[in-house]
Amino acid sequence: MPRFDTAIGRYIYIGVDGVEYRVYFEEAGRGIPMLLQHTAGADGRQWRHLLEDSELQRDFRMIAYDLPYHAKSVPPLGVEWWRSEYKLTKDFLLKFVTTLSHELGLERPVYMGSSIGGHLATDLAMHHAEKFRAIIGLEAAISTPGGFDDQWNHPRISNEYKASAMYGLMSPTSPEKYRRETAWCYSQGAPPTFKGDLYYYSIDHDLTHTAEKIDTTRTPLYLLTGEYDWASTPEMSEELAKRIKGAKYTTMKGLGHFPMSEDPSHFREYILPVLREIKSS
Amino acid sequence: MSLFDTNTIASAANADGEFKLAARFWSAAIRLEVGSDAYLMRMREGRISEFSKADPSKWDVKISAPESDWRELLKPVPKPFYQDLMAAMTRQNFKLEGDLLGFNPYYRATCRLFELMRKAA
Repeated sequence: MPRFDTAIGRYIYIGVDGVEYRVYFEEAGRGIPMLLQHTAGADGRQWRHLLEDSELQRDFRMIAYDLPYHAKSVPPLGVEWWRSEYKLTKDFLLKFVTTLSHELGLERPVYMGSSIGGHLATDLAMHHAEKFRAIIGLEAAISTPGGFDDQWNHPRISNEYKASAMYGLMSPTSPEKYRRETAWCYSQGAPPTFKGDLYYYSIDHDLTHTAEKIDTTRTPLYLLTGEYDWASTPEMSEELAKRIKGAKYTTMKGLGHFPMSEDPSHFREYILPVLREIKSS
Repeated sequence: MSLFDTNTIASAANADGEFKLAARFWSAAIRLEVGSDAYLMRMREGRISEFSKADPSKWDVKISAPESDWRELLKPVPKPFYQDLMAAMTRQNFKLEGDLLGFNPYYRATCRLFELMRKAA
């Protein structure tokens, strides 16, 4: 008998600002829907270990998607995208995730994302809190300037550079096989996507003057950051949490910028209590 | 006492499968500054052809930090933000100067070199 992974993938058409995107997602489990957002320049494969978690499958319908231009979500056919520089914006991300949730018929899903997905957690909490049962931001910060750099998309520098740099964002105590897999996926992103995503990460996301406006009475906000994440450090995430009344913050010891893929079993120790709390609330 | 033995590191790197793959075609002079000590590592077509304590005037890339920072970076399990050169540049006292367009394609080779230095330390 063949041994199948439990996750199943398929495509959905999503319209944002008059442009139709063919979007790939994988899902596993049943119960409370949960949208899972990948990091900059990466794709939904980062969540594959969580999707395979049989305990979580009993209570959560986990949905990991590839943003347009990432992995199996190829660029849209309706625009001449090759004529302009790719840039991911906050406006697009907010519209995309809420539209995806609507088109999938999800009723107040949980949202969880890391890095750009962590930043997006706070932006969703600011602008669309009522649409989510709970929001979880991994590796989030008030702002992370300085990342929108030409070195990330230069004709003389291959994708191996990004993969190598991302390898160093992980904890040295995470299992090497998972760190290597995380970096491998990074080496496969289309050349402009990582830098383009960092437009949101480093420029368009900025809660410097607005963080206090996030109202956690509308939906709970959990923030967790890896001890070895030098891009959005625990100190930065904690500072963000201090400015949002009711936000719950945890430093994840021995983890880095990619907790869900660099050490899935260790990440599980941190995220299961959060998900159990969400389930019971 | 030196923080690392250059001959041991050069031999280990030139025999290491990952380093050889990551460093392929790399020719450059890399100056390493460990506090007040200076080293020159010369890469020629993907191999370390020279690695010695020296104070060269010409280099393509310079990586520098106080000795205490190097010691932390080279520990088997470094403290947070010493696990990687970019981390240590961003959050600690490491500096990288020179031809970055020539160096960044070999970032993985450099990180692998540091891993081999950790093993030898």
